[in-house]
Amino acid sequence: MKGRLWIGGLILVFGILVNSASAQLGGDLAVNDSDYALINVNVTTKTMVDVEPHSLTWIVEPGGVGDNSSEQEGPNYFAIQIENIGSHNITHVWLNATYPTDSPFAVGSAANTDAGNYVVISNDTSTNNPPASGFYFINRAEYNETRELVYLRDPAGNMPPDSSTYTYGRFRNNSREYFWFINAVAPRCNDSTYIRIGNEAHTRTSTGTTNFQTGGPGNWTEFSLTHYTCNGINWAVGNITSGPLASGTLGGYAVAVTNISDRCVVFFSKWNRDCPFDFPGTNAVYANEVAGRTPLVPGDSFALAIKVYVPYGIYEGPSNQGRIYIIVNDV
Amino acid sequence: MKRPLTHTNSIVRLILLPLFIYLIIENATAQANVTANDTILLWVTVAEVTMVDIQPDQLGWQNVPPGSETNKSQLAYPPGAPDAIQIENIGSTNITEIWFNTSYPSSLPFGMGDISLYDAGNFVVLRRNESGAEYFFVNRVEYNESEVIYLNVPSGYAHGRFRSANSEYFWAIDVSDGWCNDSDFRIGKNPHNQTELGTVDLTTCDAGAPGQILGLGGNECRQGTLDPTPDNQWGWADIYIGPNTDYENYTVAVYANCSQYVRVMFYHWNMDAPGVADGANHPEYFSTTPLYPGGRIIANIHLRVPYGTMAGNITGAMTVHAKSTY
Repeated sequence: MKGRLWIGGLILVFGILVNSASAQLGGDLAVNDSDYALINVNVTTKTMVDVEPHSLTWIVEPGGVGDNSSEQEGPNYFAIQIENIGSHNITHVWLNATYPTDSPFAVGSAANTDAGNYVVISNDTSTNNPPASGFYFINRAEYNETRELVYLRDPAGNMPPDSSTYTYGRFRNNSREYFWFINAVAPRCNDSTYIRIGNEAHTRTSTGTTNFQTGGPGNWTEFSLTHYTCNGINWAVGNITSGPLASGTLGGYAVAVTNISDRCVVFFSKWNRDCPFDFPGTNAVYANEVAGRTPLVPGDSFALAIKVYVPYGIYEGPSNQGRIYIIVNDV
Repeated sequence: MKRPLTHTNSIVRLILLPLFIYLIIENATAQANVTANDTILLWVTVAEVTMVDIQPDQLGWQNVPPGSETNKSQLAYPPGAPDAIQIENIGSTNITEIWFNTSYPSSLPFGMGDISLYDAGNFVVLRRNESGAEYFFVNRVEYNESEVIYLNVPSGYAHGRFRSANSEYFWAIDVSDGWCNDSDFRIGKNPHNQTELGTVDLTTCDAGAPGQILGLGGNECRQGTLDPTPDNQWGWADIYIGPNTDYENYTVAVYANCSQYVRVMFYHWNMDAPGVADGANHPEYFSTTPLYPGGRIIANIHLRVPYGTMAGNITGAMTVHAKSTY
């Protein structure tokens, strides 16, 4: 019995000593432990893209250029940024712009306008106002002229042109306009075998190339067109490989001719790879490839400079709101 | 003739009677087979050990799209389990405080094309298992990113985003001298997502006192100067993230050396993070109610997977810490 009491007393003494030592080490004795859980997540394959900013607005005079200085939303936005916000590598990025479904000129209102048809894009974002040589339309639509232009001479030498054989119009590049001729008429516009484009711009002060006569003195270049069918529509397609429409940093446009209603329309595309600009050997490009982002991996982005080229003869006030679509795929 | 009762006889009788009674009782006892009892005292001193267990010790979500927050149906492992964890005191002391750490990427994973750079721990948000409780990141780490052309920040500032599923808040920090522990830090109030631009102009913001980015004024962003930690390795500030009417409490900590890159931690449940010991008000212990030995609490867990997260399997870890004060 005595032995038990003695042992108990010894333990009590040890207990006191331990507590005293703990207190001397710095107040509360904190004892810590930890455990962990492993976190696993399987992210689904999803292709998503985001383009910012969502809205841009310019105030521009006819024949003028809307750039960062006249952009209102930012203000002063000068580019759009395309970001892969999905989980999958994006192989191709291209653009598609809205365009008028009929000619916006000479209708006395802004009814047929579409701001998407004014948009030009460049991959040069080194400054807030990159040089004009890098800018190209996404897919500019140009309808043929319906009112006779008496100062033009057609490939057969007729002045004014023979509208039963040839169709003509303009490629409007802000204050510079380049006349073009195709050797077909609506509704068989896609039967054209070539497009002749003037090398000299028509401006307020210069007539430009107006003589498209074969063997004549006119300064024009002819580009071959071939038949191409996609999505059930017949087109005449080709590439502009020289001249002022091919003088930029990315080379020339791809062109595609068809008819809409009773009019011929010529599309000039650099950034749109949708039908019909997906024809073999097309001059249209994938934006991410031009930007050196192939593939565009999740979380990565690139920027494209943006401006608007507003032609002469556009009705005053707000043009109809346009859209540019960013389209992506993975291969 | 009756014999007289002598004194001797009386004594004998008095002795014999109890003996007789005793014999009777003894016989009766033997017949009942009585077992003898004795008692010893047992005692043990349980060591003062703080131990904690987190279960399940592995959680797996499947089919999570980028730019989303997980739900219970996506929790694939353990099968049929709720999207929650249970923390149990398996030690012998009262646990008075519980907090968490989560793993995070060591560099910017976005735009790199390498899934191994992502860390699932950086997606973890927790909330108390209480009505009306909110989810917060344990400690989400973000890095600065390359040029965003529609973002407007002062000259000499680096920028990045606080990514919370489909909400991204742009932030900017003065890196002009390559040292960020006392820099001006700014963050937009409105989130950016696939359809909304959010706050992209961080040039004019609601200003706060040092260590506080808590402005609720009319500007679209908040700003404040970071408070250096005593070792000067980090700068920190309490911060509101979100619109004036719906913001979340975090503390932001920025690694001091920002000459190469900017590492920014937004934390709420991590009580080891820089600034906690220096007066940050927004970090919280997950539990401060004593958790007795054998007791357990529940934490609801979700993942907020940002836009731009690469498809495939991403792993990470979450650690629970327990502290006992006695």
